[in-house]
Amino acid sequence: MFWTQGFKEKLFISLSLSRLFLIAIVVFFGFSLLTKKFLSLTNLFNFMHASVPLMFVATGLTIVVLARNLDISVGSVAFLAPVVGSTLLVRYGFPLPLSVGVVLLVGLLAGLCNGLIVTRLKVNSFIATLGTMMVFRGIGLQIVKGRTIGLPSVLSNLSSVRFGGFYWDILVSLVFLIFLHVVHTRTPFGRYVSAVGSDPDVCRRAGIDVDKVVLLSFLLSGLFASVGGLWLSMQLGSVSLRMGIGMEFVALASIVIGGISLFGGEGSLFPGLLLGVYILYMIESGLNYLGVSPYFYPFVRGGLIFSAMYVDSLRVRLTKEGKTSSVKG
Amino acid sequence: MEDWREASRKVVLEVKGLCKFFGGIKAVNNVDFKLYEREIVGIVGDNGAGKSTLIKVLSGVYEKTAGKIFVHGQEVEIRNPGDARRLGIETVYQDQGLIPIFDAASNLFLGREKLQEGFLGRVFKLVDDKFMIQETERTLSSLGIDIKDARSKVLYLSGGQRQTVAIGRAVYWKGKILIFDEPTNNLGVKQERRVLELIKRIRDELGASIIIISHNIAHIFEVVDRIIVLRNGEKVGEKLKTETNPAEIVAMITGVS
Amino acid sequence: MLRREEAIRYLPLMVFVVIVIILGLVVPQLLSVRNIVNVLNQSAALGLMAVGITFTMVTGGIDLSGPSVMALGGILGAMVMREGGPLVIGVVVMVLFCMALGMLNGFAVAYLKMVPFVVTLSMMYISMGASIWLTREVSVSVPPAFVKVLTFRILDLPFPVFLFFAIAFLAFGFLRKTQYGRWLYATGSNPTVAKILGVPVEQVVFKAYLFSGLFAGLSAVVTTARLMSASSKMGGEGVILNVVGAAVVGGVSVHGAEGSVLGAAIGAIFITILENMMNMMQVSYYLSLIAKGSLVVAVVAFDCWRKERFYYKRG
Repeated sequence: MFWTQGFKEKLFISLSLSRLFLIAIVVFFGFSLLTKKFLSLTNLFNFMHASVPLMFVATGLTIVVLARNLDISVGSVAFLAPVVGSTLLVRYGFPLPLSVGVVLLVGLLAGLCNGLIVTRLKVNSFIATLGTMMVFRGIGLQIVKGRTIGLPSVLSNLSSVRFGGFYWDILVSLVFLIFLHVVHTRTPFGRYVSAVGSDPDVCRRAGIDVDKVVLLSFLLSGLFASVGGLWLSMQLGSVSLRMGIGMEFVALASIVIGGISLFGGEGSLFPGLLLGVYILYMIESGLNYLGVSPYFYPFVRGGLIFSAMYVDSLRVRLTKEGKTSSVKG
Repeated sequence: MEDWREASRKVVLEVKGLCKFFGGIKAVNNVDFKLYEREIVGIVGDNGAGKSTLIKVLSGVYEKTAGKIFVHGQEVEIRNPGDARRLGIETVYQDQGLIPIFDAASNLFLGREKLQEGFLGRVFKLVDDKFMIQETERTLSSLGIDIKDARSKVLYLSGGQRQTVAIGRAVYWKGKILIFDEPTNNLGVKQERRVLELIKRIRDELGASIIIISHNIAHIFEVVDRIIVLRNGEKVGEKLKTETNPAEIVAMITGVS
Repeated sequence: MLRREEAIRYLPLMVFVVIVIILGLVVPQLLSVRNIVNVLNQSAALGLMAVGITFTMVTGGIDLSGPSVMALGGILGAMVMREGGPLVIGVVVMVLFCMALGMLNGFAVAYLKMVPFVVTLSMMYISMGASIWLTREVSVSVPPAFVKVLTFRILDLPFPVFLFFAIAFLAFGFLRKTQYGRWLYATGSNPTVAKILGVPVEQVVFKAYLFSGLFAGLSAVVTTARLMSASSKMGGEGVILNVVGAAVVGGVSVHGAEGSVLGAAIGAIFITILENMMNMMQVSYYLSLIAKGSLVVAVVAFDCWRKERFYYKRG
């Protein structure tokens, strides 16, 4: 029975993935039965379009989570980066391409900040990003001095370009996701990320530069968060004070639903995260159609996170047979 | 292995057909052995031979996959460390199993703290520090260690002193079957000597039966009465110390003869 | 009694004490009895939550949901009283409800083995959402009798200050001298060893989150009495930063097993003074976020540095 243990794991993982597909299908058709409006291609494209900013943010965050870290500053980065860019654009008349470039740069810098705090100062990623979350938001709020910045209409028009119902930004988000997925599965860096997430000590001993991997993961998270923020502000046509608040929570929810383990190492961007984001949005827009108030969304997300995390911890317990388990955070 | 002593001495612990599998990995495979009263048995083997796993089964950290365990002739089930302790099996682990920020007394009594009498004591489960410190000082000095400050955290103690605290814990709780996992690891030469002498004294003065795991053949030969050799989870040899020599034991460990 | 290496843990706190003394010399009114009592009154709510979060941090986890659970509990209690319920029931509702949520957290972390940070982060957002939903962003006012009862003075000290001190010292004694306290620190230091030695690790962790809920509930009572109302803003995002900041400055380590509730309580007083100072200097709310966020990161980094140097020395 040499293969029993490994087989058990593989079985569980493939069950999890197919479970995702199943859930996606169930949710979609379930809601379609409940409201006639749901089952339509336009509607599908609508919520896919709405999920684009989150898709960016969650994609970057996934890399950090795969490496066994957390980055809850993504919401604030998604706020700060567009704030800087739009301030330069609107208040100082910078050319558009440069402003966009600055947005990305801010994201990278934020990621660098996080990465350095975690790798050099050796602070826990959750405390570190809790702190930077506040700092970034504070900086952003200070820059806008409490006012909303309106963006030129060309930008919001750009974001709503569609081809017969299919918004082009859905394609962009998918391209980014697939790109990062390829990086994750085909490049050495991507494999290191999962390896570090599974067992950083073993990696260190094997000669992998764990700090560099972690630093890069935070850089990616910051960069993608800024892209997400950029797109969100384009969709809304403005940069507002409360933009991005709570985004880290929704991103985490979609990551966890997508089968990515918070303990690191396990999970995929495609189809994992992709399905996670869409399932979450499907459930929320479905509930919306049913007339459920948006105030319930936190409950929904919380409930989803709990169930997905429960399954995740079950998996950890099942595949760690024989060892005394620990309760440390 | 027939032995004139077998008839006259009591068997304190016996293991028959013991197996511990982790999925497809047979860490311990069909091991038999007996532990007699007042003797020190050394279990040796290469890395991965199953020594650590075997004693973890005996001390309740792992649950056996198959086989039988007998303590004082009675068949027993050891499902968790508490069961093992209740049977009088106390273990001194490789990393001592001490809490660094606690003092010696708190470590000795961890999990079995002495509570204060009296109404308040019982309601809030207040710990009786005075009692625990007294007992600890008494135990440690009887083991020949003068802990200058019983109230200081064990992480300030030297490796040898910490090892003694760990041993003190096993002794204090009246372990009749003591298991030492690599007791001389990470110790200086003088401290190694002290620990080995201590183990012998525990056997003599307290009448305990002791199992020692070590990969240091020289140390094994210094203190044990009998040697059991494991290789790939199976018992490949058992010899009285007086009837063998290090070279033979090493040959049995590596399987090259 | 404290070795040098350990005293270093309290360095941030000592720096704060020195700063306060210096400020007191420059601005004598700062050290007047009246002002001190005032500050203590203000920091009572934060202090209670800081004591609560210490329990969870000692286990190596954390409870991020304290403030928002407090807000929700406060709102529920206020609503009960608004509908004519007796004051006692109002208080009981606040405390018990927060404890119930604490139990949920504890159950998920201890028995379902989920990651504390994410569990309590979820609870934070859920309870924030619930607060907003219940109140539609309008604060719920609290009967004047409630306010009067809870702000009466004993020995010329407002009740909240009394409660704060009493709880801080009781909790300190509890963690120092009881079996549970020993078990809590043992679990935080090395749960594997603790478990082998027979410590009921799951129970210990569960109770830690339960205590966190309890203190959040007490904080709800105190806060609603002081603000004379309950609102969802009570548990805003900036508050958890204050709570974590208080604990961390007070010497509680995020890695577990180090720090005391007294330190956290003093840290809470410090954070309150810091906030007051920033207010007086007209520092914008935004800048204060930056300052506090950086402070938390800096102190935790200091803690990590201290640990590395310290443990390396010992070998």
